[in-house]
Amino acid sequence: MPLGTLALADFLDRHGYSTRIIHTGIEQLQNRSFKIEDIFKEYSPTVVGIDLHWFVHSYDAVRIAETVKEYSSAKVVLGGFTASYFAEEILSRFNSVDAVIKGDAEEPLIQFMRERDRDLQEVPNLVYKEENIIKKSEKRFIADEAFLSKLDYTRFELLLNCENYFRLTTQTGDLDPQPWKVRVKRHAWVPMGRGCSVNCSYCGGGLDAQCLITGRDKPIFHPKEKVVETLRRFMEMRIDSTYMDFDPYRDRRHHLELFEMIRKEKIDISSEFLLWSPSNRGFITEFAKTFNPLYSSLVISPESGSEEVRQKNKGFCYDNKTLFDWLNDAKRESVPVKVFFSSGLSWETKENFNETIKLGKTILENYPVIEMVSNPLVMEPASKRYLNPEMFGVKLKWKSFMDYYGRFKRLAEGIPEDSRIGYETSWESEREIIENSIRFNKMVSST
Amino acid sequence: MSQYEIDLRLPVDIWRKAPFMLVGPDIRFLPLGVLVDSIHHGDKQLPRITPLVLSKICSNGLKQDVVFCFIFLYINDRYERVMLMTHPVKIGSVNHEALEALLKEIFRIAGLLECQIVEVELNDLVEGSVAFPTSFSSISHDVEVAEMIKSDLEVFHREGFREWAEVECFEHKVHELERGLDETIRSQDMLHMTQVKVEDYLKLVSRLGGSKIRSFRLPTWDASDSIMLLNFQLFNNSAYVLRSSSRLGFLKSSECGYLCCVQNLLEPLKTLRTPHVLLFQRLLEAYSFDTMKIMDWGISPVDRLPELLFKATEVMKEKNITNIQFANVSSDQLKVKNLLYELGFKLIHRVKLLRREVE
Ligand code: SF4
Repeated sequence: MPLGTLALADFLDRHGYSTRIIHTGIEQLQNRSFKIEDIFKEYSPTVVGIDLHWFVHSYDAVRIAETVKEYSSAKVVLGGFTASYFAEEILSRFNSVDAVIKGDAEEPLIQFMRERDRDLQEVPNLVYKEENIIKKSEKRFIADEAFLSKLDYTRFELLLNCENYFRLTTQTGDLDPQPWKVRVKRHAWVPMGRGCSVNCSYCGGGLDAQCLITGRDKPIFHPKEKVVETLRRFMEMRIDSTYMDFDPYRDRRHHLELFEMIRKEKIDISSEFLLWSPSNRGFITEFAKTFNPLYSSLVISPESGSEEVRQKNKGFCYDNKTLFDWLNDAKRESVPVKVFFSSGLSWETKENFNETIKLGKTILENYPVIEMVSNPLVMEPASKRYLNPEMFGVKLKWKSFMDYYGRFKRLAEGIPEDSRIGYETSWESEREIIENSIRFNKMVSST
Repeated sequence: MSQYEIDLRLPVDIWRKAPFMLVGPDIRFLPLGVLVDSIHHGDKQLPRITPLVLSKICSNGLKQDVVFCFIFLYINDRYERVMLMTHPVKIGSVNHEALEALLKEIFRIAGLLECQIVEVELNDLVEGSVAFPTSFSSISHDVEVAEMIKSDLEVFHREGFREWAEVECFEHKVHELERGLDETIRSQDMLHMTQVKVEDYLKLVSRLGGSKIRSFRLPTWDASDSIMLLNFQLFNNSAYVLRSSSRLGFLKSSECGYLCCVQNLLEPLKTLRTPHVLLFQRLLEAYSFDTMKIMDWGISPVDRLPELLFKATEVMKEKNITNIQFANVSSDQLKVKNLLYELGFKLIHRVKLLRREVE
């Protein structure tokens, strides 16, 4: 569930619209015979908002929209990055979707609730269908820092069965049927900001993609006071650990000030902090001083062992020496680390992927690594590689929303897939890309 | 009567209120919030260690964590499934009512896990820095700083528990002990202490199992399932055998004692400020420990204990260890205790083990 869903629900609730979040995955895990239509036995919504942020939900989001239309008279509005990027195509292909909010959705959603039977042109960021014609509102809404301070990300009571949500959303993913694995912490995500300052070739959330989708041309931070308030609420809710993934500037001044405030407020919580580039030792020292070490770790994603491949693909590039210096600092400060790699980067070859395996092995053997994995990159809509495939030596297999929808429909129906990652490169076939990650992960389990 | 709720959770503030360290397979999972240790019994695979937190449901509907413990499963020498509960840690305000609610839940869970016996491990006396390991389970709290609930035996007795073991740990300064040992022991060269591999040590211990004078261990069905073994493996240079040279040539009969000692891992826990010290092996290798604990030992006859200790001080001096702790002495091993007192050891830790059958 994207972070913003709770804030959206709270914003609606505070504007007088009775709101409920239903996480269909959690409902299914709780009750194997759960069906989407069961929701309408209990609720009669006038509007159903469906998250289509990550492209992996392309099929599910539409399937839910179709069920909503079949069992209720509610209007269906979609939001999130994937929906925003493919708004027109989705509306032209699926009658079950009435509207898509592109980009930031809080203010537009309130306007949509007010204007839904009147003038939809008044709803900022809205793309909608009127008499089978797709129209786009001229009004624009881009949240700024002042607006972010109005949002509340802690109203978990609006989420049905939220207790299960805490338990199931540990970093290791879904409910695990292995009885000897005991999950022992409650975990939640804390919003830190929106946007990015760079472009990684493979990322659909980089600077240019953000400009295209939300109109945001620079990162904005959630006010520090607001983050501290959120953490305090988390503590009251007995949440043990938070995931922090917003690190757009290398100087990290903002974070250092935030850490100081967290300490001053005596907030006792663990943090899994995702660094977008290596930090200096001072940052790690402050991190270790601020967060409870029980579930705290720092996460870094060098993606490749080859400095050249890394440099050509990552917005924040750094050499291996910088990476090792950083790992040494983490070790000296006794902070566990997670290190993530990818296969399928542009300019990656079978040969230079060996450098990735070698680097991974060295790190695994010498540093306090609690998790290391390589995954094949999947083509993200709106990423640099998606928008300019030739420039990055990429041959796209998924070019439209229907391609994404089709891939995940086949997956849900158990039909063999045409492509798992949506592309191949001038240097490697799709199979080779997938095999690289398999080779890497075998190295991890045998080290 | 207040309402309580139990959850299988390890709240983050336990680290500050009762610092601990976990041993077991793949400790890398703990920072991820997952415990993966398991035991096999009958046709079942069960979690070996599970954290339990009791929360009070306040009048406004909010929940407040009040008391915490681990439950640790082992199979005893009668092949019964035993659930050992570690000393409860105080997180909020605990009263008898909360403790009773916790015990009620413990028995409910014991029933679900089909355990025949519930045991509880209580720190009855803590006077000083008790070195690692401080528990018979795979979790060792720093009992000196842990905010444990009062060792309130009355509540447990009321709930039908009976004491079945009392185990003590003694401490001394290495150099004082060495100085205080009889000159004849210090100068004699009839005894040799040899370092042995953990596997050889375990074979030896089971061979000398009949020896009456040995340290207390949980009576596990399969000795290799003992959590103590996990502790042995932390430092593979920590097992020693004492042999008498006068009987060399009759190898088996020449073995008159053995010991296994472990550095006090609770020290780096404090200085490195992390519960995951075992992830930082390289830092540990360079770490200068103050205290070593003899956690497993055996001697025959008991009068040779000073000789065993003398050899232990030599090992410890080599490692620049200043404090020696001699653990797992059953309180009825009076001769051992008297010898320890005579040598100047001080009692610093007493654990009571209580037991009740599950109906
Ligand atoms: S992956 Fe790269 S582009 Fe995307 S958010 Fe992270 S730093 Fe920015």
